[in-house]
Amino acid sequence: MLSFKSDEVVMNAFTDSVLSYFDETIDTEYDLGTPYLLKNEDIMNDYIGIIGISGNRVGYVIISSNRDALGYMVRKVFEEEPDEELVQDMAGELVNTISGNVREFFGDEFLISTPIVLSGKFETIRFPKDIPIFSIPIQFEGHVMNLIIGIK
Amino acid sequence: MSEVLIVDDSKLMRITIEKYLKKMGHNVIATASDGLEAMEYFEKFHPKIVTLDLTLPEKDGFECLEEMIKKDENVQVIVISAIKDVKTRMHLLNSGATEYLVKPLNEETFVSAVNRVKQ
Repeated sequence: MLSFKSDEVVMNAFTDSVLSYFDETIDTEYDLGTPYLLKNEDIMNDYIGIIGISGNRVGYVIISSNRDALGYMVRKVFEEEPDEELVQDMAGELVNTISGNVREFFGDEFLISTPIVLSGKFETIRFPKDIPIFSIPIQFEGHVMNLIIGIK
Repeated sequence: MSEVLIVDDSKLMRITIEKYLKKMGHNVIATASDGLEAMEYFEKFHPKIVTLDLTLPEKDGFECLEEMIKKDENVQVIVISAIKDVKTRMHLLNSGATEYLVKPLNEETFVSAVNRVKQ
């Protein structure tokens, strides 16, 4: 289990990565909420993009979002009309870019997988018990998506 | 006008890169969504320029780059990846990549990189 200090370093790295992504791609106001510890019972949104982490850290990074938020990003970032395929692709590309960008903090042994995207109704999700799971809410234009990080 | 192969597992990225290249007057001869498809199209179409993602299904961008350079030492490979770290950038540039761009991709940066590799 990571210490509080290590958790903070991980959170800061991901927060910086999200800030940088939104600063560079969306000319609209956005806000990052305070990271909080996620529980198994917490409900996921309809779309989740997952990146597996291996190497000098182990775990995963997830984007959990509804369709509208991802559709908004498809329009704003890529200037395309969001069909189902592009909405799913947005979830994968977003989590991939945020995770890949943090490698400058964790070094070249921080390895990321290709993204996996799932869609549907997820009532609950079971996380491994030995990894603290944090969620960072990202709010923009009335939308909220969550970046979920479980890394040790 | 150069013939370009686009390799990225994200459809949004393939569409965007193709849009930028067409605006510049280049001919996109094929787009590939994984490493095996990339190598198949590379051998079939002999592109002058390749835009190459690193994190790819089937065969990653590191392997693709190595094989492409072995098959055609004159090919210009622009790596476009989310992976942001100096060591990886240096490794790929030393392995034969011409440019290394970090996602999210900015049109201006991309256009400058393509213009540099054409020279």
